[in-house]
Amino acid sequence: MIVVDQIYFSYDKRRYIFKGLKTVFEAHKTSIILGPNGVGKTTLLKLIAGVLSPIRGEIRIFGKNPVEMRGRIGYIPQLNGLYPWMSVRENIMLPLKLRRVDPMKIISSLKDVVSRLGIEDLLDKYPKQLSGGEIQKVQLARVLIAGNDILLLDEPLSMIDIDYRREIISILKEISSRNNSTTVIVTHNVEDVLELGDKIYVMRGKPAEILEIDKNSVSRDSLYKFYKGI
Amino acid sequence: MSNMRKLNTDILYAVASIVMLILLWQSLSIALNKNYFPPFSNVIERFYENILNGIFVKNAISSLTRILVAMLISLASGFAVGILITWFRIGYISNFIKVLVFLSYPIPHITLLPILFYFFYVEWSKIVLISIIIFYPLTLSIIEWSSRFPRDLGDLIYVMGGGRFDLFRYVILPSSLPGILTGVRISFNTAYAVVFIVESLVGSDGLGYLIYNYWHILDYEDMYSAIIMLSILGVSTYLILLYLERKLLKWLY
Repeated sequence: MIVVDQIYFSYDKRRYIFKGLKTVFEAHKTSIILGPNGVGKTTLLKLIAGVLSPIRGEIRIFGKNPVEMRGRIGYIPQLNGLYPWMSVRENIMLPLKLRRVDPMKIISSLKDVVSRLGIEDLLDKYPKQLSGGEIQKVQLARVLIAGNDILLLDEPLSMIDIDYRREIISILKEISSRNNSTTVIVTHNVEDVLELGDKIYVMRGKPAEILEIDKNSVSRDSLYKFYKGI
Repeated sequence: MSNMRKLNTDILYAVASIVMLILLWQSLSIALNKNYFPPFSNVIERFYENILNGIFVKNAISSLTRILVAMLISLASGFAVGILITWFRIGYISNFIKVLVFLSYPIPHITLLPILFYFFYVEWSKIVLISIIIFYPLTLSIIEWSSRFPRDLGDLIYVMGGGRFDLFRYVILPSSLPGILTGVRISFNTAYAVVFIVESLVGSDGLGYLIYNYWHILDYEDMYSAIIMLSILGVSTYLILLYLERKLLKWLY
C-alpha cells in the first residue's frame, strides 16, 4: 500500500503544487491518475519514487519511506528514461548490474525478458535509433528484468503509435498481474484510464487535490467532465 | 555505402587541397626567389634525407614523449579536479577549487618557465610547463561537461538501487566523455605549439629545438622540412583522436 500523507511540495517555495495532499493507493492494484498537463502528476510520481522529497508530510510504501525502497521500485519517467550511451542490451541489464547480480544470471534473465517482448533485434541498437514504441518496450523490459513489485509509470502510452498501443497495454497488464504488483500510472488521456486502471483517481486544481472515482459507476463522458473540472 | 562514398569524397577534397597548396608554394617561391622561402621541391628533398638519416625520427620521439607525459599529468589532475567539483557539487571544497581554477586561468602560464627551472630539472620543467598550459582547456571542459549530466537519468540510478559510485560510472563519466575527448583534441593542438616554444628556448633535442636551430644558422630548407614534420605529427594526432572519438562514441554518431 502506498500512503500519501498530508504532503506539501513546492519547487520554488512560493507556489505550492501540493498543500496537504492525502491519498492511498491500494496494494496489488493498478491505480491510474488522470489529470491535465502541469497539475503535478509527474511530481507526485517523483515523490513516491524518492527522487523528490516533500517539504512536509510523508509518503510510506508498505510502511517504509521511498528512499528505503530503492531497488524495489520500477520507475518509467515521462521522457525517454533510457541511457543514450548504452546499447539496448546494457540498458536492460542495468538494474541487475546495480544490484551486483551474478553476470551469468543477468544474461539468462536478459534472454527471458527479450524473447518475451520480442525485441531480440533491438539489442545492439542505441536509444537514438529506436521509435517511440520501441523505447517504451525497452523501458518495460528493464522493469521486467528487475522484477520490481512497485511500478510507477509516467504516461506510458504517450509518444506511441497505434500499432504499439495494444501491445504495450497487454505487456503492462501482464507485468502487473505476474508480479502481483502495486502499480501507479499517471496519464492525461481518458482512453488510457478505462483500459488500464483498477482504481481511478482524478487530479486537478492548484494546489492539486486528488479524488478517487468508482470505476463501475463512471462513464467516459463523466470522466471528461471531471478532467476538465466542470 | 553512402558513408563510404562520403569518406571517398572527403579524401578526394583533402588530397586536392594539399596538391593546390603545394603548387601555390612552389610557384610563389620561384616567383619571389628569396632564400627564406625555398621551393617545395627542395624542402621535400631535405625532408626525405632527414627522415632517412634518423634525425627527424629521433627528435620527433623526444617531442612526442614530452607531450604525452604532459598530457597524462594534465588528464589525471584535470580529472581529479573535475570530479572533486562534481562530487562536492554544493559546498566549500567545490567552490574553493572552482575559484582557484578560474582565477589562475588568465595568467600567461608560459612566463612561469624561468621559475619552473628552479624547481625542476631542465627536462621536467618543460614537461611541467606543457602540462600546466594544457591543464586549463582540459579541466574546464571536464568541469563543464561533468556538471551538465542529465539529472533525471542520474536520479533513476538511485531509484534502481545504485549508489554514488554507480552515478559516476554509468552517468557522469559516459555523458561527459564527448566533452573530455574534444578537450583532449584541442589540448594536443596547444601542446604542439607549446613544445615548440619550450624546446627552442632550452634544450638540445626535439623538433622545436631543430626548427629554432636551423633558423639560427639560416638553413631554411631544413627549417621548413622540420616544420612540415611537426605539422604532420599534429595533423596525425588530430585524425587519430577524431577516429577514436567515432569509435568510442558510437551512440552519438
